[in-house]
Amino acid sequence: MSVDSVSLDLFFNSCPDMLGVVGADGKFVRVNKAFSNLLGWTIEDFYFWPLLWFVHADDVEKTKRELGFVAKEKMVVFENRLKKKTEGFVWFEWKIWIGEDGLLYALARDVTERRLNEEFLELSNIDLQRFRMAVEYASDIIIINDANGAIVYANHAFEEVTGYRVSEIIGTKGGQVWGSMMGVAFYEALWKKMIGEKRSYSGEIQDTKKNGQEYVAELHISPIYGSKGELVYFVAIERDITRQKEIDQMKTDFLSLASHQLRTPLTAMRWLTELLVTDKSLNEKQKEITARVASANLRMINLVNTLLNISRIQSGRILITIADTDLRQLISEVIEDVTPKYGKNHTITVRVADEIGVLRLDAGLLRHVYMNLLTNALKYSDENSEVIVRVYKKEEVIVSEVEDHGVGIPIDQQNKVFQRFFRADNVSGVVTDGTGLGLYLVQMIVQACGGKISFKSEQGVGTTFMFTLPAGGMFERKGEVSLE
Amino acid sequence: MIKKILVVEDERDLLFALTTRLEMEGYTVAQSMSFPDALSKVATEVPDLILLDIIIIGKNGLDFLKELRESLKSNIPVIVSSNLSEQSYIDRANQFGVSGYIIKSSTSLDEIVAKIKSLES
Repeated sequence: MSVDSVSLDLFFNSCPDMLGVVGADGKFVRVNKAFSNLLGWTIEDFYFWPLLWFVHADDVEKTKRELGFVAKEKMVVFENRLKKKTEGFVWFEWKIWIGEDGLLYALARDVTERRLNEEFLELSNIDLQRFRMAVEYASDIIIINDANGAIVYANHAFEEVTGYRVSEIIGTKGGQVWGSMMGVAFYEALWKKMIGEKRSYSGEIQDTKKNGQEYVAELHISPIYGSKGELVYFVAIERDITRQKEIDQMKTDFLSLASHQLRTPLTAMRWLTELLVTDKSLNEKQKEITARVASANLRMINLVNTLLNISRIQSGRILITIADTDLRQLISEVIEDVTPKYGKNHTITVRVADEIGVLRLDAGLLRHVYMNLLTNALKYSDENSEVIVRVYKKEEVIVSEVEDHGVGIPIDQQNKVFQRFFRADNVSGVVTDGTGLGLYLVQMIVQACGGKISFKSEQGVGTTFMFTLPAGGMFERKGEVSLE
Repeated sequence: MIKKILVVEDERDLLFALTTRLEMEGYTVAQSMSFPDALSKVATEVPDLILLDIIIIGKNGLDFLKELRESLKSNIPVIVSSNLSEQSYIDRANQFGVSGYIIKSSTSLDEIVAKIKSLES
């Protein structure tokens, strides 16, 4: 071998790009070390298998096609993937030309990184496209305002709901063309407040469509900040809740109808049986029958009242009126109310910690909670057993506990205790005047008051219900209805 | 001392029950089933107390109270009875200086009698 051919050999094997020569049978007759360095196969492997054997299955057809063009076009440039000996593949960019000897001369380099970047970009474009479609065709109105409040984008739902064309409002500010019902001043104040307080806005607004029809919408606006913390956009999402409002109103009307129309005959039954009970001419049997009618009627009234109370709380229109409340007095009043019917022979112990002073609470709502928990404790425990009511402060909450030594709640049913109409197996046939709504209502009241309720119970040992109230007192809430 | 009670109630069964029970207690009962009639009976019957159903078929007892207090300048004690427990009603009734607000279905006749007796003392 001449010096020239030695240095040529050195050049061939030390070249960082792949160099190879392919014979007429499609097998390599020569490859440089870069091939085996990159793919992990031995040089012998490359001489043993045809070139196509190393090509990724998805790229074989394409490679065959490209190689087929070499004879006609003298040189082809294409990309494909080659299998690594271990897992994975490498993207190759090939330049293959045909030599005077009829052999194929190949120069290739690794373009994996570039290909993956391109794939990533392609995916990002698809993502972007998806986001654009999601925003454009969302069922809620989505509007983007610039930092000055001028509208720069509105989606399809905007046109659907308001009847305005997007082109009519681009560049205008809320209240100028669309949003006239709330007015420019409303939006100006809103932007100012959001910029000042750096927070989003949620609220209900009334507006008019292009045809003059009014609608009610739930509006959420979030400020969007740039990388330097500067305000870039406001994104507003608006949902037409007109129909929902109408349904709410129907529900309210139904409630009021039910409370009046159902309660009137129930009251008549209550008062008329009350008169009958006092009738001295009744014999024992007739008295018993009348008493049973009276008790069934009371249960019916209780059920209607509880259902109404639940609907009232669910409607979110519940009124929370706070006043100085002495829990000791409240609890003793509840005990006085409850004991004539249940727990005549129970020992009821009340332990209110000395540190509990007068609290700012809604006594009416709390009365329901204590009344329900105490009634349950007495109803589901033996006469002569003890029921303990404890009230104490723990960190930032006032904890109330009602403990009984009664039948307890079966362990497999404890997760259902606060569900509507749930009654545990061990009591549903024994104590018949439960509705399965008491604890459900209690939980809703406690939550509405900013507290939490839980319990621990063991069958045959007893149950303790615990609920918390904020030690700082409840928050007043303006509403339309109170419970009864 | 309460001797005569004007019961304003448009439900016959309720009117009957209230009247029967109040008469058992020895009260004289004047009955009315509409607000205009009740207003005229305030003058003719001169009751010592009015037991007022606040909703009578489409009419609002609050208007009756307003008329009673402002036009007739009457300070007759009024106990409002209703099956509506909307706080707004209770608040507005209280503005006319009522002596009590009972939810009918949650109150027994005995409790109504007790309420009346408590006004006498």
